[in-house]
Amino acid sequence: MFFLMVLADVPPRRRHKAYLVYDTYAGLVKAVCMRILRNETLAEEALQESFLRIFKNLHKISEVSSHKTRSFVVIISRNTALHLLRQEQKHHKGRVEAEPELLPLFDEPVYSPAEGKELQSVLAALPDIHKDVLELKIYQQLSDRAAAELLGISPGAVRKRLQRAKAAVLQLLKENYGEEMYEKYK
Amino acid sequence: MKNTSKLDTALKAAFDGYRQDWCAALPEGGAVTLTPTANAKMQKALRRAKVYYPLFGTTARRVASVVLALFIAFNAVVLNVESLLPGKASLTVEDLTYHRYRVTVTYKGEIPAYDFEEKYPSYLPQGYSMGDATGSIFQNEVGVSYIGPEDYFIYTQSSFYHKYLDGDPIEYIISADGKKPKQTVIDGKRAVIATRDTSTCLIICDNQYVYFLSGSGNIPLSEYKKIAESIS
Repeated sequence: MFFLMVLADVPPRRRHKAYLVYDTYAGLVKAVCMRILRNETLAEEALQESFLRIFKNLHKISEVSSHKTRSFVVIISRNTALHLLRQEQKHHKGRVEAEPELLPLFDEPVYSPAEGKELQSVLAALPDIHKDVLELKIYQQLSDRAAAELLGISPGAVRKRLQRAKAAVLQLLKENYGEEMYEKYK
Repeated sequence: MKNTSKLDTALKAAFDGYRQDWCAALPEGGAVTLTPTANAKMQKALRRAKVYYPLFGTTARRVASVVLALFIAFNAVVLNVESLLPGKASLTVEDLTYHRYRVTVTYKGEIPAYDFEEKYPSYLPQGYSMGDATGSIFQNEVGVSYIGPEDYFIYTQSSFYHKYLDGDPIEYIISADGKKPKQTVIDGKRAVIATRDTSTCLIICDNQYVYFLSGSGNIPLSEYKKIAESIS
């Protein structure tokens, strides 16, 4: 019976996590890729590559429809699209241009400087390069190697970026909320 | 242990709140329409993402898995690989002189104590009935002769625990006209089958008892196997 089931290859479309993730986030990933690449063919290529990277990290996704998974998917797709964009620019012009001017995906939420929201305001003000590494390493708890694969950099660069991102957080805390706040988290 | 700083802990909590608001502002996801080529590639990637893909993902791998399973079964049943056979009892066949063979039944490890429970075959060949059977239970051994219209066969049941208590090994000397008795598995139990023109003999063992069937060669081997399978 087992072998019959194996040979029959009935794809349990709704049962497997990969299908759930794809069905839930395909539109979002395509939107992110289109925003960056502004080309249908390239966006489809980036979408495939993004999902391949997501599927490699499926075990990290505990709940498919959560904001944690949603942001994880966006980070991966944005970095994949950016990587593809740089490759395209290099291919067509023989040199890498400066970081492309990107339209924001949406209007960032505004945080009032209420207690407990200081760090959230600081995070909102951070550039994506720092936000991504902080998210993957601290929030998603990925290893240096896994984060490096997703960001398309070396594990050493991940450690360096993380160090700089934390320094940037502390610097922003100091600038916006004073020495006391800086000392609190130092 | 991983060293987590105060900032890390605070950032983790802050991220949770920040991403919740951030994600709420993101455009909705949902289904997407891709070109046929991209869609085919995506479907392939989805198939590959399944946990069992490395084992059964392609037709070749499925065929290989079935072949491997058949190979293991072949080894267990036909080639009689010891470690793949069921039970703690084992059967060995020893070649003696004059086309005789000694079948020894041994039990691996310590035999747990149990009460002797009589077992009889529920299936009998056509023309045989329990009413015509004659037999006895003697010192925790069952011995029954089943008499048919023209032939007969005998059935015995011995217990490992009670036999070993008496200090007797469980051995059978059988004559097989030069054809070496064949080891096999019947109904998940180890067995030895010896056949010759005039008689057939089966020795079957599970983890508690050894069953012995012997009788006329006119009764087909398939019938003996059915009798053996029905012992309960």
